[in-house]
Formats: sequence, C-alpha cells, structure tokens
Amino acid sequence: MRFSTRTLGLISLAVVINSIGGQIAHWFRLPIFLDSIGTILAAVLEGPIVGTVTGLISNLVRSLLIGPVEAAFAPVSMMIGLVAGLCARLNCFKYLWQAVLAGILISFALTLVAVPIQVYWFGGATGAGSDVIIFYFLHVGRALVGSVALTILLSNIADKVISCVAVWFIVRQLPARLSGVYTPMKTRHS
Amino acid sequence: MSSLLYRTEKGWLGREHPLTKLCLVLWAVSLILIVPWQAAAVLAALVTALGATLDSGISWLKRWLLALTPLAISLFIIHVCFLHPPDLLWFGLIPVSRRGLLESVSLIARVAFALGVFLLFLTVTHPSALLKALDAKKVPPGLSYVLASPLLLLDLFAERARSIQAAQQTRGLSLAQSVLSRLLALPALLVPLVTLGLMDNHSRSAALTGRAFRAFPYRTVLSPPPDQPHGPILRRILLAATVLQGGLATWLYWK
Repeated sequence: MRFSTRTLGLISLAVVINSIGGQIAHWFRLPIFLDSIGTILAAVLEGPIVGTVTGLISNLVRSLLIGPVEAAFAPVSMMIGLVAGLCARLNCFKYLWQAVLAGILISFALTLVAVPIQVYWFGGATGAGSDVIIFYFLHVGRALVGSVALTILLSNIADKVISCVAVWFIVRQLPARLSGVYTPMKTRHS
Repeated sequence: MSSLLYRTEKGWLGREHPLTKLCLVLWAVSLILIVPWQAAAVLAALVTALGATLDSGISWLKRWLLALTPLAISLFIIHVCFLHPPDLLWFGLIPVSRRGLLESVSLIARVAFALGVFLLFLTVTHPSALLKALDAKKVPPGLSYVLASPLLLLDLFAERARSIQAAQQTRGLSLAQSVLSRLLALPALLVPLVTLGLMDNHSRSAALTGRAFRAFPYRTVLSPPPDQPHGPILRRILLAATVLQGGLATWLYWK
C-alpha cells in the first residue's frame, strides 16, 4: 500500500493537532486530554488504515517531545484510529448521536488494548493523577486488572466522546471542495 | 525544535551512529525482561551513572526523575499497600506486604532502566540525524516525511492556535464560564485551526508532488551520519540478541 502525498500531509497535520490538543484543553481549562482529535479526524477523512498509522506516528513523535512512556502506549492510539476509521466507513459519523456512540465504542476498544500494557509493562500504574482512582478501586476490593480497566474507561469516555463530537462538527463545517478530496468522504457524498 | 528532549552531546554516545543507538535501546529493553530483579537494579544504577555523566547530565537526570518518580510512587502504593495482604508494620503504624515490597522494587528497577535507556537515546540523538540515517539506509522518503514534518509544523500550529484564541477573546469569547460553556466554545477554535491546516496541506502536497517528491523510491543523503567500522555488524548482533531475548521472555512468561 502506498499513501498519496496528500494523505502523508494529513497524517502530519493530525499528529500536530494531537500534540497541541493538550495545550488547547489547558487554555479552555477542560479536565480532558484532547490528544486524539487528529487521529480521529484522519481516520474519518481517510479510513481505518490511515487512522491506525496516524495513531502510531503520533505517539512516536510525542515520545520525542514528552517522554518514552508515550511510545509504549502507541497501540492504544492505533486502536483509536482503527475503530474511528471503521465507524466512519460504516457511516457512523453522519449524525451527532452516532458520533457520541463512536466515542463510547472507541473508549471500550482502547481499554482492551491499554489494560495489558499498563498492567504487564508498568505494573498497573502510569504515574498520572488517574492512579488515585486505581487506589480507590483496589481499596474497595477490586482486582488490579478490573481496577485499571475501570479507571481507563472512566478517564477516557468523556474525552473520546467530546473528541468524536468535535471531529463530527469540524467535518460538517468543512467546505465540500476540501472534504470532497478525501476518498471515504467522496464515497459518502456520492 | 526547542521542545525536543535532545541536547548536544560530545561524548562517545553522541558520536555513535543513530541506528546503532536505536538497536542498543531495543536490546537493552528486551534484556530487562529476562534478568532477575537484582540485576535489573544494578543495570538501573549503571544507566543512572551513565546519564549523569552526559554533557547534559543534570537535564537528563531531571527528566528521568520527573518521569520515574510519580510512576514509582504509584507502583509502590499499589503493590505494597493493596495487592498483597500486609504482614509487616512499618514504624509500628503502616501495614505493608513483604511480597508487595519485593514486587514493587523489581518493577521499579525494570521501569527505571527501560525509561533511562530510552531517555538516553532521545537525549543524545537528534531526530534529524535519525531520519538522515534512515534515508541513508534507503527507507522510503514518505516515512521520513511523516516523522519529520510534525516536528517542523508544531511550533507554527501552536502559534496559530494562540493567535486564533487571542483574536476570539478580543471579540468577546469568554473562557471564564462554566465547563459546558467552555466546551461549546471549543469548535470556535478547532474549526478554523483544522480548516486552515487542511487547506495548507492541500497546497503543500500539490507543491511537493510538483517537485517530484517520492518520484524515486529513496532519497540520496549528501551528509549521512558517520558510521563506525564495527557499526553494521554490531547492529546485526544486537538485533539478533533482541529477537532471542524477546523470545526467551515470552517463553518464560508462558511457562
């Protein structure tokens, strides 16, 4: 498979959007990550394969900027891109409720990938603030895998729903001459 | 490029070929999966000593501690206080588990080593040197492009986002309201930022195609990073050892 130069440019743009998403969340004082809007956008515009590649490149680039832990969680970003792309292929970004549903679906899918990485590579912790929720679940008697899974799901669901809704809104606002050049969008318009 | 973890390094680590350093990282990370915790602790101490002797040793140490400390504290609390029944009282007050203590020390040593090695690589290897090395090894130019261009576009986009936000605040967009209001204001920043980015991408990709970008399967590098005479053979040995160690780690895990 060979991506077009425009697709490569889209992947780069998506990685940049992911990288400044955290900064935007900070400006708006929102308690979410906003670090996967670019991946979801690339997946919606160009499909699941581009979404998956964007997720991988995004975490590799972020590991150069933030730190090596980002690289370990690359499969999680790849899963976000894959599921978002599949949802888009199934025309699940047409209405607002579908975007919300896609966000929920992405959260469950990423939990499946993130739990083994966090439990088996990092012993259950990431050093983030959400570890406090893991302590709570362990304290009330849940097993480590269950505690980590619930924490990841709870800390991601709002973020991914908001990211999917944001992408849905952005794609709706795009002029047809811009959105029409991306293959899956062309299929949807026809 | 200022936001990168890279710092100038004049020592042997800085002079080594980027791909050799990458192979060293892969080998080291696969090694830590198979050694006992005592060896992991010694290796973590060695990598700390190596990091501290870099030209930017203080900066490396700060970043390493910043990444490791919260993770180590969380790991310690999870394994010592929650995962195993307590069988020991610290200072006659805090109930802890001996097994949890051993497990947490083992995990922290392994994570400290892996983080330290990766951070060493990022500190002594400039991404452009790595990309040049990949180009010299005839990696497709598209791959180099998607890895390099985000680093070049990042500051430009952050600046553009700041300008859009400042302009909108001047025109009355308030960020001092409820969470819902701030969420609803998010598209006002995201839509122009992404639309402008997609328009740029459209014209940039047309310009690149016009300049025969990717017309050939690989790019010629005028100044490839210098390689040591032992470099190619060392990389092969390291990669073979990585595969063996990874296989052994998988076998030990399932056994």
